[in-house]
Amino acid sequence: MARLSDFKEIWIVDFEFQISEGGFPEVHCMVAREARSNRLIRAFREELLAADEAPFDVGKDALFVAYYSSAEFGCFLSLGWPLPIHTLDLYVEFRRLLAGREVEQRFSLLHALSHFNLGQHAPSAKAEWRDIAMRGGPFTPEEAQGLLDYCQEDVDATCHLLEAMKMDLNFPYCLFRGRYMQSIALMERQGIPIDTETLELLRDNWDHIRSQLIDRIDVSGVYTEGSFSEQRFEQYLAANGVPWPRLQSGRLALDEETFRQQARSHSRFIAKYHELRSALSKLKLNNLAIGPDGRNRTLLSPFRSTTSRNQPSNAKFIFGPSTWIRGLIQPKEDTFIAYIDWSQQELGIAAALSGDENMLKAYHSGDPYLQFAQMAGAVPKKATKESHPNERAAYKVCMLAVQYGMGAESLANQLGKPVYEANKLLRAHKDTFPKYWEWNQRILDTGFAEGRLETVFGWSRAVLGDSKPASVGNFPVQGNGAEMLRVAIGLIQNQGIRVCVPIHDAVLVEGHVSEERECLLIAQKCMQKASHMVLGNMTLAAESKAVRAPSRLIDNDRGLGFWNAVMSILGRPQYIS
Amino acid sequence: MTETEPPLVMDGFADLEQFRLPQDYSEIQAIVDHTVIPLRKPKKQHWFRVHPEIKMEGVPFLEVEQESGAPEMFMLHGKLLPSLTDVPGISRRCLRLCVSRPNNTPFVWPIKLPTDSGAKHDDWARSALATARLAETRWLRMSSDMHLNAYKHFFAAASWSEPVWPQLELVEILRRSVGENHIINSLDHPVIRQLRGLE
Repeated sequence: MARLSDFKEIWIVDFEFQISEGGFPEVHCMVAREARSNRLIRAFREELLAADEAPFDVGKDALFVAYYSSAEFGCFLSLGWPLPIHTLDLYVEFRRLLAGREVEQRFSLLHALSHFNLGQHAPSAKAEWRDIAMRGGPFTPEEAQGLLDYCQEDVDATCHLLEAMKMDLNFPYCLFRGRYMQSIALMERQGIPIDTETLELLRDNWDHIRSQLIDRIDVSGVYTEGSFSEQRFEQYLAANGVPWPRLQSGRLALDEETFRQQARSHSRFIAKYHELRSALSKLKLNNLAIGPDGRNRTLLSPFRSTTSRNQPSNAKFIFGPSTWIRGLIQPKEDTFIAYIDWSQQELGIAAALSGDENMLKAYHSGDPYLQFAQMAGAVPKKATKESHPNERAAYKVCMLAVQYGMGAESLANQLGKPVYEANKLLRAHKDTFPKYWEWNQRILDTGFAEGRLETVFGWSRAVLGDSKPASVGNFPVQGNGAEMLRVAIGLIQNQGIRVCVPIHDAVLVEGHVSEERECLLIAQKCMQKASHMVLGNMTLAAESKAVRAPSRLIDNDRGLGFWNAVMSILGRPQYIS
Repeated sequence: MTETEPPLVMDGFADLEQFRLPQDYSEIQAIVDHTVIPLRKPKKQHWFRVHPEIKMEGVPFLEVEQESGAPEMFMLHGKLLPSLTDVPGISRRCLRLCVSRPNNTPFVWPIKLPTDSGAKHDDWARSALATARLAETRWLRMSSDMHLNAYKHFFAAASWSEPVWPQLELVEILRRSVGENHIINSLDHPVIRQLRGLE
């Protein structure tokens, strides 16, 4: 299907429903209009519940059109209806059109209509009817009629939007993105199994836990009278030889991103303070969206970033900023959950797409950072992770920094070394991986010359005169990484495996223990296949970590210590992974 | 895999791979162009390479000292030489195209040729020519050794990638390095008149 005109029927559809925090959509009504014949279908809850499939064609010759279709597919799943084969989501396509334009833009249907000068078709009294829908039934006959009329206004507005956007649609790629909105609906319905008993315990005792945490974790005295002291933290860093990025003013950079990166590079000294700061300042346990069945469900916000990655709300999501809280993820009885990701996905993409032989060699070596140090002549050929840990760490930071387009000054900050040391590492990278750098320059040249860059399957971003070169240069790696994840999730779900959630470049899957081995094998194969479909000439390896009930999905390096500190305060047994 | 969820269909995407868009970005080939190519000797802290083929031997130059800073160089037309025996600062040079790390920055090195007169400056010239020959195949840096009255050089131990040379003809390199304002093809040139005390 290469064009809109290839479809025999084009159905524009909208549902009204209510949804409780962490729960499933409860459908009130639906309106569907066929774009060419203008045929209209209006149906209220009882009629919809009685049907075992959609009252319009969802087969291979029809196109399903909606604005933010994962919501509609959530209703399909609640009704037990088969999902459409072809989907066009105008929200996703509107996102794509504006990706990379650093403008204050919101993405509701009203905003999209306004963007295309279609404000006159915007539904009237939208907030009022949305409130009635969220309040839920029983509805008076007038309310039921009003809800249907309001729903129809949304459908008709979406028809106008389709007409305005049809020249901007890039078939068949937009259908692939529409397909992913079904994946999103399935994952949002699946959710993540949570140990709700422990969550309740945490919620009930959180004030006590907070005050105790400082006493137990901050043995070095970084906190004073319950507050984080920058001066004492600086002394702590100096005493332990931990370099730390600084602001232009000379003060320590204490933002979340810096802490997150430093916690990775200097886990032993920093991870606990990262967790402590997150726990004390950000974690609001009551915000975690938990459904009545004890599962964490939240909007996964697909295509929200410029690179098209998902960006779920941190506050409601168990995979938010506090790593230790993931200890609450616990499979239910007789089930397993598994975290599956590609090994070094971003490096693998850069190596494959740039065709840099040395980078490919580094990727396949199993330890690309040490391999890089060896290729640059910084360590002997026989060096190991154990024999040259400092050199390996510096080359690792450099390799990751290059992927994010970091310059010498930022890299020097990251390493806690002078700029000339950072320059030396960057020169080593350029000397070792010359084809990568040529490719990266071509990306910038193409982006700034043509004003647009595209991934393998057609997600694109605008490149403007003031676009940040680091963000432009990194787009093919991040954007194709996002494509890879979308393909992988589709392939895994098609095998009947339940995917709970995507996490950056990984997925969390779930199943019965009797099927664990087979599920993991299939899921890993799907991820490998997805990587080949995106890269064309290379397959990335996939790794998995599975846990069965009553084990927890907890990161030994970045969370276990903190989790056990909290459990100790609660008088609960320590967790041993 | 015993689930009640409706199966998903990937019709139309089984052949997704055939729709892959290229990611090599090779349609736009940006070529680095240097509008100015400095005429100077290698800086003592810079690692550099010398192009093995692009060179011009025996070009007469006039070196005019400045009150401050490096002397100003003028290329002389060969026909003028017999008439300029009274003008100081004239020598024959070998022009070599060089690039320095890390950005392959080009410059033209005007190496003074020895006169075989046994003069002290001949050792500087000979060592510079020898250094240039070595730099045709290896990255090195050079500095002055006042005790030897000659240049000394240091080879780089690292195995850096080969230099990237400007894609320019010799004439264009000269135009960008010497520049039209620094060519003397008449005895009436203001610089000659000044050196002769006529202006």
